[in-house]
Amino acid sequence: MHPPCDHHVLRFAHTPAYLGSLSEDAYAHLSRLSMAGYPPISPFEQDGSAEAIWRSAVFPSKQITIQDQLSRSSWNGGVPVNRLPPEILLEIFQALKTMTEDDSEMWMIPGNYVSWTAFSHVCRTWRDVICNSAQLWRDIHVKDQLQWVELCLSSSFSTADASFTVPHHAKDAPEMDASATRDCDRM
Amino acid sequence: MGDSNRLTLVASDGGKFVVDKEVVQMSVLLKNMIEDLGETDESIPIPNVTSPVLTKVIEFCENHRTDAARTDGPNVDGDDARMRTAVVSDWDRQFFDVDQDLMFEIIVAANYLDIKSLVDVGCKVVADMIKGKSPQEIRDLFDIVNDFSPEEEAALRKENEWANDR
Repeated sequence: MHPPCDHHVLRFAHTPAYLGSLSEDAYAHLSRLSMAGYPPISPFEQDGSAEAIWRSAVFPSKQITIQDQLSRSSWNGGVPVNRLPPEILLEIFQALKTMTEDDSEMWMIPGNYVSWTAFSHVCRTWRDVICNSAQLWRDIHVKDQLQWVELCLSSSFSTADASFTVPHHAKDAPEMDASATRDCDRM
Repeated sequence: MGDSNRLTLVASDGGKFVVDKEVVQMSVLLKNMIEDLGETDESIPIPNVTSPVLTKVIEFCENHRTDAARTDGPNVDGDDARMRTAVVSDWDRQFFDVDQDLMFEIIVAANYLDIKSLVDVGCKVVADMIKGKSPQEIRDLFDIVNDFSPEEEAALRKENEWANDR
């Protein structure tokens, strides 16, 4: 059963039957949007996902503007996971890095992402936490990809020091060495 | 004069919880408060934590009260080693089998109350939830929308190009 507190905000836009048919998550999103002053959402335009609800409410013209991007970031600021303070998000990412770094099956994930850096592609909040973390970039385990080393070097620009562990058998080891040498003052 | 081994915590919504001091002392924040207050019958307000969340936090501390002695000492191995070694037990996993709102509120409360073991377990449970998932799958899981600009997205795609060439 949905909490009654937000019904007054939504009743002008939706029938009780429609509101009752929504999943709890969809109802919560609708409530958040309405409370934030976003326009009513057509029940025919949404499929219950956060993206669909957000798009139909805030993005009806299908044209991207800076305001749209800002309202997307604002939406993300309200979702439960992003209520975690940055240091806790960082602890989660650190746990993931630790879990997957030595696991060759988990190292790459669907979409060809290196597992723990994929989280920097989720949203701006997560990217800021990951890219500004000295802790995450301090100790990098390299497999055998030169490009991975270069990505790490460019992403760890904000950290004061970094350490890379390169396996002896890595096929690009000399090139990795050369890349790392360019940043040798941080190594 | 009340029971000197127990004290009352008051949640932000006024809910009162009478708890063993030993249990409460898993929170570094509350442990320090108790030491500062000395022997007292006064209840301790927890202004940032609601009753449902405090109920869960107390449930965790009661279940883990015997762990306290093991984890009380100095953390000589550092945070990374702690995250690497500790395993999430079945009980802990079941403890966090709640809706996302409550799960994240518990972690926030644990961080505020400085209950390291609860923060660690919470972080590991969340890490397990997103392990192996693509960015879009994570967005779907947590109701996050893509808030990168088209230019930023192009940069992200470029950043990951090397992996697609493999």
